Amino acid sequence: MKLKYFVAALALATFMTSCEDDTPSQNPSTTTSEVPVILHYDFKYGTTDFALNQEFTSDSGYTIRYTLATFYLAKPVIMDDAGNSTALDPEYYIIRPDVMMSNMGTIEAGHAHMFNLSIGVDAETNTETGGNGMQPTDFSDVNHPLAPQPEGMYWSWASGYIFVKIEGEIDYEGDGTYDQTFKYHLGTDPFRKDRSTMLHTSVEKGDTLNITMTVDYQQFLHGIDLHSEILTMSMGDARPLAEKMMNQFDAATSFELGSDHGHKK
Amino acid sequence: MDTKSKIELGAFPIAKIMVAMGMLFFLAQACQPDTELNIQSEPSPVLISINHFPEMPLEEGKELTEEAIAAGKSLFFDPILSRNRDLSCSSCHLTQLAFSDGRAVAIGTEGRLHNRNSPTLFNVAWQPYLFMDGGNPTLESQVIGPIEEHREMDLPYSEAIARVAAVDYYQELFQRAFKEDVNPKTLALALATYERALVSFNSAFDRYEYAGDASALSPGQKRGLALFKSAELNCVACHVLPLTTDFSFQNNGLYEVYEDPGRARVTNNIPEHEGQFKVATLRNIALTGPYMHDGSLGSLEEVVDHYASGGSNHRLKSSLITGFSISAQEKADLISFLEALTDTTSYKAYMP
Repeated sequence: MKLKYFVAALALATFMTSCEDDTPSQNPSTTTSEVPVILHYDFKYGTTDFALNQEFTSDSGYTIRYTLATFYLAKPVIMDDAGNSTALDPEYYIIRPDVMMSNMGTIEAGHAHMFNLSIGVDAETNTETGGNGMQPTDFSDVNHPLAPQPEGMYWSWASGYIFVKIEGEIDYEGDGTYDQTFKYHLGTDPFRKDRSTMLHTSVEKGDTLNITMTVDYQQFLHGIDLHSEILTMSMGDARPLAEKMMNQFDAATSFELGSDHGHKK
Repeated sequence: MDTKSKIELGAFPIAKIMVAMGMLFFLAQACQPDTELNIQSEPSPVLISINHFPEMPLEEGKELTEEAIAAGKSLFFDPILSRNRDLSCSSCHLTQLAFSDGRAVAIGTEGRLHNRNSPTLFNVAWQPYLFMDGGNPTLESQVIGPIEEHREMDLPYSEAIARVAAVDYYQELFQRAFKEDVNPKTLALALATYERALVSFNSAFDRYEYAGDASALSPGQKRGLALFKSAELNCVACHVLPLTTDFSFQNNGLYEVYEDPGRARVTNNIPEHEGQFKVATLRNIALTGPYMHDGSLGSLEEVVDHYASGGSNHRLKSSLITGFSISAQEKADLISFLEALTDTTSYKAYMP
């Protein structure tokens, strides 16, 4: 009889413990030589913090506000000084102004020489006019960055992802009424921007490799005629403007080692 | 026991046609909600095999099943996919017009005018790329187009998913069809599967040409068919039988200056692609007017006149568009033949 109770108790204990989370309580980086990589975002309008629907003054003195500023980052890689690459995970990130940082997985402790990634979606995945790439309708997981997004980051009619989608409004007279919209939907493979940032730093067990991406949305519109250069979907006659605006975005973007919290690594 | 539903037409014996039509009717009814849900059972495969057509291209994971067709059909006729819930896919793809709409250009939510004509959806399963400019590679991913397009349903696809996922009836249909919830993949797959099942193969021309029924065409239609195939008119150079299209992109000389750049829109303005549009199917052509990418030609008479004239002198006009002489009788015969491409049995089977 006692044996019966013992077996029952053992079974109960086994059942209960089998439901426990097996995840170690400690951060893996503290128990292994893996170092987390975090990309921080710093969105600015000149020297002030940037936010959607906030009024700013353009270089021409117009009141403007951004209503949308979303972009893709893809395939971040850390290279050591021997040229070995560590592909970071996840591979794709959709970034909006309210995103503070992205956890980009881990690398082995050691020397981090270079940080590479693309602004946009890589050509293998971005299926413009055919091929074996991905479309939003390939994803069951609505949370995947390449799944359908509320702001529509995919051109179904051209079968490609929109790399950078920026929209806003312009008040030319400063009378509180917005007179014009601007819309820059930037994409297609030739316009993707591959960026490389020299890190040249060593990271040890217990460190975090912090990198900061800054986007200056004043710089993005610097030199742009807000009367004539206000609309492009990267196709047709507006394609040259898309190329120009993608270059503007690239120029408005910078990467540097560290974060504004003062940690260099 | 073979559990596949099979639509297979060989040499068009009437009995086989009836079986096929019966199956189509069954598919048309399949979206009616059941009172009991049994998602344990496997979806029932449907095989559409038409002997005088090329094999339907089907990638793995996109097989036709009764359940997937039913889920897609429900969505196709449901205005849930438009921003204002005022349009469904069927608003621009009317069953009785062979899934076209009879308008020059489509009219979207709030009366917004599109710049292109609504094409028939029959036999879309054989299309190697979608849209008139070929900008989309799959039926699944093209689903996003009309749902999100400002001049069509104007609803973010992500919101469409949320809407449909909130309906228990759809969740049940999708579990039956895919053993998954409503999500970006399954919603597109449902609509695409329904559209793949829209097949048209039983016109008088089919019965004459492929089933040996000499009486299926009138004498005038037979003369029209001969003209259609003739070296002088050479319609078959692009309208290749039996699908009546080779899916190539052609500038047919409709304009000297194109407002719609056609294929150049999606190929980063490659100049040679200006004014090129995918060759349209002629099946059910009598039901799908007005014609051309912008619906600018209102009748088949105007279409024949256009090709007989040789079209406008666009610098990139296809070398195949050279013009031809045609008498009034020949023109009537040719149009009579085009009318013989109508397949009323197919579209009636798909009536909601």
